[in-house]
Amino acid sequence: MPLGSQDWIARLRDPADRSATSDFAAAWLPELIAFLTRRRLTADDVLVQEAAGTAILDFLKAPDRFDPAKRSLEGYLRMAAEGDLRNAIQREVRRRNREVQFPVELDPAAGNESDDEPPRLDDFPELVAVRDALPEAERTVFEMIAAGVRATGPYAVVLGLDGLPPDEQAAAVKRAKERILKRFQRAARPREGP
Amino acid sequence: MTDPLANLARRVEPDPFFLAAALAEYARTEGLDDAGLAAALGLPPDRLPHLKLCRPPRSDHFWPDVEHLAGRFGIPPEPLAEAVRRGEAVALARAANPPTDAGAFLAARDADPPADSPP
Repeated sequence: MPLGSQDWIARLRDPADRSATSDFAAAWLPELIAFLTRRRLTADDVLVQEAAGTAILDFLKAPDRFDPAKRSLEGYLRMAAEGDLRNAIQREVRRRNREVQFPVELDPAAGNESDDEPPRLDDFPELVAVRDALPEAERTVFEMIAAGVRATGPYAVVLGLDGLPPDEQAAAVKRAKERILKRFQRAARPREGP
Repeated sequence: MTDPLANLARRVEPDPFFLAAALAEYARTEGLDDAGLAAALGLPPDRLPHLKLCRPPRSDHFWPDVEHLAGRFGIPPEPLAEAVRRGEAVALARAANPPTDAGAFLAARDADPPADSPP
């Protein structure tokens, strides 16, 4: 019989129970990993494990943040783990794309003097200005586009649309991607010149 | 993929909130890997992550806490107490000295003098 939330809280509050943290982690880590895997927010197992672990460690450090009157312990941990995973996905996308190359098709006036090197976003101040003005979520979306991410799921997570039904989610993600890319296209256009 | 609980236990090694911190310091000073540490504690290797994720013994309840942990994992208390005490002492030395100094201190303490060194 698994322990209820009040039992766990009691164990974690008991200063003499030095193994409560270990038992809690062993009980909840597989459950949270399974939950996050079912959510299909990412195929990266390492990120899933880390997010589940972060939720558990944060809870162990501050169990009193959990209010059983508001939600179940399971719901609280799942919500925390999912939030941690969303943050981790955004950080990972940023890390991968810190030096991302700008999509060539959005750069009609590239002035691409070297045949060897594709144009880079950072070579075009007007495009850099557009990128830097994007809200954080949209900037992440842009970086994902530039990195060639095709699946809808990660975009929906970043944009906070993953609660929508799949068809609405796909349509909303498509609109968001088009809106973001249009900003770059508009900024690139003046460079085309007469 | 490696065991998620083992990964979590490794992740908390820098954190003195968990027993993992003292055990990691002890293992480093003894040159032990996880299998060696488990053997030194008399613990099956697959139980080591569980032990690492426990809280360390409190200084004012050291023996009762060590006995609680030892009883919980079915291991003798003495090696666990020795590992925790030495691990925590090394952590204190490290905190009191810059990392390079602590390393030099430990190296100087542990190493035999070269045969041709002056007295």
